[in-house]
Amino acid sequence: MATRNALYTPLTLAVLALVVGPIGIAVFVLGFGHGDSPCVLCWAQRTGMVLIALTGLFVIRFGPRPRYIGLAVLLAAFGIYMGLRHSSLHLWRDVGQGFSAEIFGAHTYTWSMFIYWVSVVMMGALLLMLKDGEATGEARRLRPLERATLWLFLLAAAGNAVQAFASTGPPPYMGQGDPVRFSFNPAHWVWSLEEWRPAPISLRGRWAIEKPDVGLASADPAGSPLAAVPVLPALRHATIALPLDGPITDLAYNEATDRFLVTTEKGIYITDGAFSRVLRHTVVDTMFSVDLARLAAGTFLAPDTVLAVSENKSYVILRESDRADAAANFRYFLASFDTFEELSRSRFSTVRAKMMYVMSVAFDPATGSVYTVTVPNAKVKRLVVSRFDRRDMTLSEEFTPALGPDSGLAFKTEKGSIDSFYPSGAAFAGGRLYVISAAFGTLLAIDPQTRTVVLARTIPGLERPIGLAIKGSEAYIVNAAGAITVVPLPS
Amino acid sequence: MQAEVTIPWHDDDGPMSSPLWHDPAVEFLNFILIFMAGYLVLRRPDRERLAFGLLVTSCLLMATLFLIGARGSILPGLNY
Repeated sequence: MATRNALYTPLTLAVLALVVGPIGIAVFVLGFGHGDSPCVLCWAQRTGMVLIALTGLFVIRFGPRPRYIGLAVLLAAFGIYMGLRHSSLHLWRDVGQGFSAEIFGAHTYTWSMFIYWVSVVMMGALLLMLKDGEATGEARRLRPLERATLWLFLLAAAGNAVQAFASTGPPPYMGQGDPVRFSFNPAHWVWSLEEWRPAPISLRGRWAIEKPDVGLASADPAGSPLAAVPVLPALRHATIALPLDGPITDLAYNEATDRFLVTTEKGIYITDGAFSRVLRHTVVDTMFSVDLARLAAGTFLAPDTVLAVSENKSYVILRESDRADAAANFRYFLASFDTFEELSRSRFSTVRAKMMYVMSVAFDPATGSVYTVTVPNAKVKRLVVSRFDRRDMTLSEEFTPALGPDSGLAFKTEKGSIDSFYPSGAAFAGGRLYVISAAFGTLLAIDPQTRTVVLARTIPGLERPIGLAIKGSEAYIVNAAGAITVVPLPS
Repeated sequence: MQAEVTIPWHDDDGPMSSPLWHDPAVEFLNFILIFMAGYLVLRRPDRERLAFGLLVTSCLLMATLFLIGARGSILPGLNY
């Protein structure tokens, strides 16, 4: 009997704590006392706790049958998932922000993950106390504490039923995403069918953003949202015929050294000013530490320093070196270990561009500013220019440019927007941020001072441009295959 | 914004005629099932099979309700 009490007493106390604590407080104190009303997810989390308590009562009444324990484990596992899923809705909010009431400084839905986890721990501890042959299947005679716990459980279940009736209603109404304050006055009850509405089913929800691809953009200038965009014919064409490790992702030019930077998905190549040979290169281990995914853009930060940015806005900064430690660089590079030193590898953090990828980067040495421009996706269609301070690589400004009043540009329709452009390359010159758009084959110039598009030119014949460099008075537009279209830089 | 509906006895336009009216899937119903199961455990231990059946039904209902609410992003909303 002593051994059985060693199992049932702690279990009874655990169930009692669950009933009086989170379940009882939730319904009687927060609900009836303070008017807190659970959302549809909160209801399921609370119900799961009630069910775990009920499963514990089954064990108290009928002994530790395997099906009770199995069900309790499933409930706790699902409860941990529910807690993580619900808490994650508010993960990226500022400190203190959340939903509904707080307990000891933490919002109610965040507690459930901890409570379910404690339930798993309790189950493990109680299973350790279990004797072989304990589960006889016979109903036990309840002791006073166990009987009192069961009555309290019924009281809590009844209280929840009352609150659920007032807050969610009878079938088919169910919990709401954003419920109103609880009240015993039926005049304030809101019953909703909103959760029954057909809605898309998704695994990752708003985080399911397709990777950028210039092939997704329509190159037809006729589809441009801008009216009467002047045409900028090509001066000449060229081809980068160098031994690279993959398709080109961007192009940049450094005037001081008359050299180009060519990036591939993992490669950094410094070439001469005529693309006749590779002067220096390396292949970045994009999976080490920070996930660099595919390098999508690059620029010179100094004559001997380059910045490569991946589509997810992670970046790596490399400085050319003839004395690089090849052994030390094994961790950073996949090839050519002694040509660069890695200065930094980190991530740009944005606000407006958080749910968008980028394919371009540009550097303004005069202000020490690094610029990225977003590409639209199926969920978010917005052209966001983000400016980062070179000194700490931290977001310093973000804007969505408008059409400059003196640009002579106009939209074809009232609903026209530059958000449908697909910026796949950028370069900075003369105080302007030049952006090449894979959509509509258009070169845009943005004035960061006025935050406006001051110029647009359609370039005929562009095929999926992927990068942009400015050399003197000419703009070099490259595609992944290395085909270069050279146009005069419009002013 | 949630789609609010008025309570039937407050407004004649209440959706009592909704075809979903007979769909048994709400939190209130779930707590009724739970209460019944708890009552059987306390007062009618000889009906263990029925009580356990109610418990399992309630678990499935709870999981279904949560997944309905979370169907727009079934995985936790982390930065994937």
